[in-house]
Amino acid sequence: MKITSSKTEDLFIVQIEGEVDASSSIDLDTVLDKALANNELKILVDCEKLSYISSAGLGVFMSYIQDINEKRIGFVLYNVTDKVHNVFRILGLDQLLNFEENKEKAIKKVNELSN
Amino acid sequence: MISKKNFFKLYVILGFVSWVLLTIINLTMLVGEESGINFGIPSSFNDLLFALLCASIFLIFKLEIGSRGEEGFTELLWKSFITSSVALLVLLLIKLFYSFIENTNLAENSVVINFFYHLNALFLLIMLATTFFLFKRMILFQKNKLLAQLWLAYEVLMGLCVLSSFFDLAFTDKLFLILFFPLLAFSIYISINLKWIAYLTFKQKWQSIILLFLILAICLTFLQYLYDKSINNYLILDVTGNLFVVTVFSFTIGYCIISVLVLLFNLPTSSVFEKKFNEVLNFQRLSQIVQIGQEESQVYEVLFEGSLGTVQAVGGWLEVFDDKGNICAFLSKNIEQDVAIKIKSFFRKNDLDASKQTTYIKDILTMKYFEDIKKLNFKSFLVMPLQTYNQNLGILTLVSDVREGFDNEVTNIVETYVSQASVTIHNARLIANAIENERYKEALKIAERVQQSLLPKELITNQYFETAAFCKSAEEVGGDYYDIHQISNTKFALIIGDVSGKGTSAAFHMAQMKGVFQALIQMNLTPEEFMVYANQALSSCLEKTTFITLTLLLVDVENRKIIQARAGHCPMLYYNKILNKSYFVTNKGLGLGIIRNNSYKNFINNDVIEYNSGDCLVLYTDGIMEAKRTDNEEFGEIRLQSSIESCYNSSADEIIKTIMKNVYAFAGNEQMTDDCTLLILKFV
Repeated sequence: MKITSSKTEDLFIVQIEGEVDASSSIDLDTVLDKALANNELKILVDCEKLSYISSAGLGVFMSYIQDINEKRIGFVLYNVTDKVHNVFRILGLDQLLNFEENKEKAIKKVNELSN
Repeated sequence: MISKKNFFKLYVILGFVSWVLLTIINLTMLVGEESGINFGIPSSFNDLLFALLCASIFLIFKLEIGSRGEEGFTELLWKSFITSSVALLVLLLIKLFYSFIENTNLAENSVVINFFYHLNALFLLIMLATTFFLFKRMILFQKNKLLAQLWLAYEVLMGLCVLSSFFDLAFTDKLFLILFFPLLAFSIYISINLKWIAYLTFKQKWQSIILLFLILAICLTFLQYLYDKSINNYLILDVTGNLFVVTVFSFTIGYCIISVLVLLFNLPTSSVFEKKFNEVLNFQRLSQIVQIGQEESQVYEVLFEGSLGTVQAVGGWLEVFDDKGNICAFLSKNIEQDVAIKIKSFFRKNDLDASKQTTYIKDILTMKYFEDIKKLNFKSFLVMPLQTYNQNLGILTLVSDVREGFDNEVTNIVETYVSQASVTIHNARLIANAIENERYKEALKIAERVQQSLLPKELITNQYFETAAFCKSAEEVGGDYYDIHQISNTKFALIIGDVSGKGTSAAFHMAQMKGVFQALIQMNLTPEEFMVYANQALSSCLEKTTFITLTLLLVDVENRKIIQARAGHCPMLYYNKILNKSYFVTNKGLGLGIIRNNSYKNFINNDVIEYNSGDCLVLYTDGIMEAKRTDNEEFGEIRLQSSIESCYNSSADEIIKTIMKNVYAFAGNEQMTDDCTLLILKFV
């Protein structure tokens, strides 16, 4: 798995590539933890190249849901493949996290959410 | 066969009898000669007795000394010295006796003189025999084949010499000298085998010199006595004319002289030999410690003592680190811990890092910052890391009070010590880890048995439905869970769950899940309510990133319906017999532990299915779905659907077998990377 993060204006964009399994989920956790610690209010997660997510990876997203809601952070996943989206959906996380088709919609959504 | 012991006895008796007979006959003949009577005893009889005496005494000691164990060389010399001293004591006592009877007739009596001469000859022979065979062991130390054969030839020659008593020879005879000198040359040649000297320590060499010197002195005293008697008295038996006695005697004296000289020349270099010998011994000890299964700490001691001894440093210390890099052992000599800290800070100040390679500070005055340790009077340091692969096991620091206190030669040896010790420590730790792992494996096996006991021992099969299950963990223990419970005559509960993650932590939560199920199922809750309570119960004990997915079915056989709730678990596959179609039941739901407050109830609901006979439920965990082919393709929903559609007519057990066969065939092997559970309920 490869994870990169970048900041453009007030948008914090995380790009995940490859498979998030038990060991690489720790890196994902580190990046998200840092973003929240830096008081990022608009977080976008680009999942275009995310091919697989294990329960450990889901656990990482799940653990930030409460923080995201409490701090009114805009948190949107976009470009999620059907297969990965299905994994979120089975667990029920689609009810708690925001998914968008593409970056434009995601930015729009994130602005709505954080205002 | 006569045993060795009996041979010994035989020789003793033979020796004693021949000496007594020889003495009696000789003295009788002497008396006869003086009084002009001839007893008619042929002189060759006496010669035979003497030859027998010589032979038996030598054979006694050949047996006696040849059969002894592994004494040191100084002990051998001690023995030789003690026997010689006894012989000397006898000689001195006789001399003392003579000093009492001086100026009496008895002193001039040739019978008395000859008797004592016989007695002395006996002790001389004993002394020569002991020394001869003790020296033999020293000469044959580290023998080769040639030397062994030479010695054998020498012994045979000596045996032949015994026969010389039949010839009435004197020391000055030409024939005697012609025979004697080649034998002497042989004796000297064989005496040059002095390998044993190299193995003596300095102290032992001095002891040997003194002992050899004393033996030599005793021999010379005897020589002087024999010569004196041979010249001044009429002797009926004169051993100076016996080729055997003279040759052995000269061999003894010769070997003593040569040994003393060689020992003296070896003294100055002996400390070097000792040191080399110790180095080899230390290497051996280092490599053997682990084999014998001794403590790691003994490696430190051998390394530290060995290194200090080799370089002759004034002091030093050895720090050993554990796997986490903390100091786990500190050994020092002449250096207090606070001094060591000072020296270490001196290294740091001067940017010296000894954790990767050997660092040699030849002279502290050449360093930039040396003021702090100037007072300590240390001039040079040798610092060596103990390392294997990338791990730093420790640091050895040796301190000298002279400039350039460590030369290349000793540095190399210490470096070899250090690398040998590093390997030994590394091995010792590997072995310790292996033992520890073995213990963990045992513990896991117990955990595996305990977890197996948490799963239902037998499933419920009755006139309404039949069930079958399959469960296999990727590791010894796993996070998958299923259970079945009869609530009433017509109501049954069926549950399947999966704790996120796998292994031990998942297994603990699975056990908690079992407890929660057993408690809540008694409360007559709907599946939805059950999930809300379960979420509440589990939220407080799950880690931040852990969640549990569950599907709970309540089967009401009276009304032929199923009420189910799906808490984020893989949707169950429902095969409808009438439609001859299977579909996934994807009602709304959320995994347990994801939302840890009251709002959870908003994310879950009940779903009711009315069933008909022949309908079949397939419940599973994601291990089944995600069974991977080599090209990373997953088993997936479609393959599961076609599996059940191909075997819905079979019994529940058969359905399980068919599906698992398909999963294994697809994955290519039976080694799953995730926990797999499969549960079938088929309505009759």
